[in-house]
This record gives sequence, C-alpha cells and structure tokens, in this order.
Amino acid sequence: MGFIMLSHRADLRMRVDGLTLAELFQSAFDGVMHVLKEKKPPQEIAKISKHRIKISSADESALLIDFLNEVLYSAYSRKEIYLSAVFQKLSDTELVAEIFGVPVKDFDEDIKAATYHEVQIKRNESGKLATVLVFDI
Amino acid sequence: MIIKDFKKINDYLWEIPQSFQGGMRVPARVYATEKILLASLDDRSMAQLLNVATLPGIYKYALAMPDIHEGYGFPIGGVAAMDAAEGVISPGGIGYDINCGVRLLRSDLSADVISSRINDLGDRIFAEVPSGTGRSGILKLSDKDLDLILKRGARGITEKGFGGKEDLDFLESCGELPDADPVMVSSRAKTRGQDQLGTMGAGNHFVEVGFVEKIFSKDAAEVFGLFLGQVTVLIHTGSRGLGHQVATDYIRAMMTAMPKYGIQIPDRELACAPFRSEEGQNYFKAMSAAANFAWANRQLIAWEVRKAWKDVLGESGGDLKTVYDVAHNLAKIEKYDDKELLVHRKGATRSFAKGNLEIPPRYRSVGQPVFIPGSMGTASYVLAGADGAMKNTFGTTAHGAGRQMSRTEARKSIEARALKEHMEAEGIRVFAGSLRGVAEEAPAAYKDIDAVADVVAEAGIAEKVARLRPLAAIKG
Repeated sequence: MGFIMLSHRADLRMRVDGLTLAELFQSAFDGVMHVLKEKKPPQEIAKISKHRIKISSADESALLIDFLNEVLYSAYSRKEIYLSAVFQKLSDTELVAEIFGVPVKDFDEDIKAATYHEVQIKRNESGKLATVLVFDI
Repeated sequence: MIIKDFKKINDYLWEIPQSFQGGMRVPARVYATEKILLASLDDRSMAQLLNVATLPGIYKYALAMPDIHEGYGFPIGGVAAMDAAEGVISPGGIGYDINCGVRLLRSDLSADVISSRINDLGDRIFAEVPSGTGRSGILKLSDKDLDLILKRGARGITEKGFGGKEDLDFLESCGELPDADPVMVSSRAKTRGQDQLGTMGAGNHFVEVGFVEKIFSKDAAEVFGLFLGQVTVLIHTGSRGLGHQVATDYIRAMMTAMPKYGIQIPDRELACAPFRSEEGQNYFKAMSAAANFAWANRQLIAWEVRKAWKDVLGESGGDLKTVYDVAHNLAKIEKYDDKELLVHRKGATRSFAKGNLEIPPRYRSVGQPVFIPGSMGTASYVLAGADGAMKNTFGTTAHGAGRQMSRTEARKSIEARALKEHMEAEGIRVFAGSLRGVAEEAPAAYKDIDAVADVVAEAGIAEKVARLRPLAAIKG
C-alpha cells in the first residue's frame, strides 16, 4: 500500500509514495478510493465503466492534485467508485489516463477536494517519490 | 511557534508582529484565552495565519477567531480584509464549501410539550432531509431552474413555493447576492448541484432540534423572538458539490493566472488574483452564485423540516419561523475606515452591530443574530453582533466550537454506540446514517463551546443572547 493516513485536526492528511511518478499517482488514486469506499462493491464485469482523463498542469505536484480532483468529480457526479487507473501518458505536466469503476449507492466519506496545500513531490531517503496530500472533508 | 512569540494585547487578544516572518504585510491577531492559544499551537493553524498575512492588499491584520484550527491555506476561523481596489481575492479564503452556514428556526412551543414526540420528530426529519454522501434531493433541477437558483438564491426557491417573504426578510443578504452570475459557474459544478438542493450532506453538517436552555440578554432574546424553554431547530450545511466544484475550478484557474500578475504566495492553496482583474471578478460572480445555491439549499431544508414538524405535531405544532441565517464561508464587500474592503471569512461569522442597515429592521436595535453551534450533544449559542466587531474584526466573530481532536483520533478513541447511548441517557437522541460519523463529531472532539462564546463576548465582538441545548441531532 503506497499511502498512509496522517493526523489532521479537521480534514484529511495522507502521505503517498512510489518508485516512479506513475506509481506515486497510483498510490494517491488508491488512497482516495480507499477513503471514498473502504469496502469495494462486487466487481461485475458488465457494470464496469471506463472514463478517460486528459489534463495538463504547471508541474507534477499540481498535476497530481488536478488528477485527483478529476477523479473526485467523476466519482461524485456519476456515483461510481474506481477500481483501477491506467496511465497512458504521464509527464511532469501532462497526463492521459483511463479509470475503471463500478456504480455505488453512497460513499464512506465526502471529500470536497484535493488541495494544493502541502503537495510537493520529492524523492525521499529511500529513493521513492513521495508527497503529503491534504483533502478537505 | 511558541507563546513567547506573541505580544499579549489583553486577556483575549494576542498579536504576532509583522516583523516576525519575512513576507508578512501586516501583523496577525488571534482572539483567544491563553489556554485556547496554547492549544492552537499544537497544529499548523498559526503558520497558516502568518501565510495569510502575506497576501497582496491585506488591510491592517490577518485575524483568527477563538475557534481557530488547522485548515489548508487559510486556517479555519481566519479573517482577511483586502483592499478592494488594490488587493486580491483568494478562493482558499472562502473554502470549498462556499456559504456553509447556519439557520435558526423558532417554534411557539415549549420543550416539555414535545418531549413525548421527539423520537417521532427526529425520525421524520431524518426521513425528510436527505443526508449522507449519496442521496439526492426531492428536486431534479432543469438547467433553467438551476440558473434561477444561482441568480436569485433563496428568493428563487421561494418562488417555486418553498417558503416566502417571512423567510427572506430574515436571511443574511436576504439570501441573494446581487453579483451572482450563473454563466461563471462551470457545467461540471452545475451537474453536481442539479440533484443536491435540499440535502444536508455529511461531515459536521446537521439538523438539530433543541430548546432555549438559558437567556443572557432578555431584551435581545425578545427582539429575536426567543423565550426560555422554547423549541428551536438549527440547520447547518452549505453549497454541496456545486460549491466544491466552483472552488476547485477557480483555484486551478488562479494558479495559472498568478504569474501574469506577478503574485507569489507561500502556499499554493492561497492562489489568488487581483479582485478587480477578470479572473478575480469571474470568481466573485461564481462564488456569489454558489452562495445563493447554499441559501436556497437551507431554505429548502427548512421547508422539509417544517413538513416533518407538521406531519408529527399537526396544526397544534404551529409554525417554525426563521430567526436568521448566517454564512460562515464567504467573501463580501464591506466598508471600514472609509475604505472598501473585500472581507474573506473562512469559518467565521459576520457580526454586524446594532444600527447597521444590512440588518433586518426588526433586529436593528440589538445587532444581527449570530449563531455559534457547538458539537453534537453540547450547547449552541445565539449572540448579537457588537460594536467591538465593527471596530476591530471587520464585523466578524467565531463560527463554532472548533475541533481539538482529528477525525481519526476521534474514531479510534470514541466508541460511537456507547456515545450514542450516553447522549440518549442525557436526553439527546441521535439520528445518523453512520456510527462512524457519530464518533467523528463527538463532543470530546471539539473545544469547549462555552469558552469560545466567553472569548467573543469578553472581547466585545458579539454579545451572548441565549444558549440552546439539543434534544435531537440529525446527521448524515
């Protein structure tokens, strides 16, 4: 698991990491989905939906937040939870991804947004890319 | 940061000088007792307040109310007044839940009259007011109707038959900000809002049936229509997914715009643009539209609560009248020191003193009603705006108890079922979609509401009028 919850007085703070940028983004995606719905619904192949996300941002940190907000918008507006993300293109400023999900009746948590507050993707002492994320809940 | 870094101005006001940290344009001031101030040093709220003090055009001080706690960008309980001509507007200074706020309804009944029906009433309100994270509202708005709500706010929804003038006259800004422009709200935000009107949401949002437990100012209580033992209903929610999306859209847009204006900030979440710029004005119009959506939301919830009230108590229940409705996440243009300022309130409540023409005529002799809800299961306060707020805090006071324990800590340390039983033994029924939410919102997770109310009263930024005690807490 590439994400871990940290303490925050009112909102949600999470540390995510990965050996590559794609792994880091995957960890953040998994972390958000874990918060949205800890117990995943049964995966019925016929009900799996696919959505494409294409975004560009100023740098890799902003790109991560913008990606997570795209995922949140898709989840809440479609009432879906996503099981996986496939990154077709991922640079420091551009991302193309496909996310695969299933419908849900409700969510465990109402994440208002991923914020830019503490995001700063850096390589840590163990050689992994890592950052802290703060979500408004 | 340690307490020695602060200059004590009086027992309820502390200051960090502008010279404390490079980039600060004004000092930072905190309204708190020493005990509250010390507790706030445990998280990042003060560092966030100092960052706010660096924003271009900030006037006089970056302020924090006694319910201050760590947020993102701005601290919760933060106030910043920007020069409207030269300063910036920062969506992070309003937050993602634009016009989250509180409405208070009053009945003609005493608590003892409804004590045997409180379970039925809680059940009925829980059924009538959709709560939690997945439930839609009773209306699925067409594009045209949604634009009407965004433009006209509470008036828009009353025109559809959900309330009337007797409500609108008692809402902050009459529940309708004139600068709202639905065109500035993205189709994504509109999609999220289309089925969410009249819904409470989750987190710390609630509907609470309570009663007037204590009166501090007989005269002001009488003017507000409050009496000892009277049953009241508090509604706390905001602009739902529509507001969240407006904030997300514009924070991103402002990050892109900042280099154009040469703005540098210590935290990206404080992304901003000059208020008079195209980006600043577009956000202000969209924010105003989202605020109108929130007022319409609380108006429709009030209608749903009234329906439940009537279903359970029949004609003998009488009417539930609106006392007032306040926003605590909003930016508004106001005048202080003969200057036009854009006052950002993030988890802070407007507190206009008596005589102000923005206050409904009926309340003008005492000041605007201010509501400071406590945690589920403790008291909430009704206060009146005061002169000290006009002089010292840009017409602002606190908005709630303020968290002292994270949600994770609360879930780990509080057993929700036992808490629910304990509250019920104390005469407070809990109607909640999830036990997890009950633990997160437990009284122990919040600061002492009495201490917060004491600070604002002693500091002269609001006057205590009445204390409400809950009978039934309804939440997502």
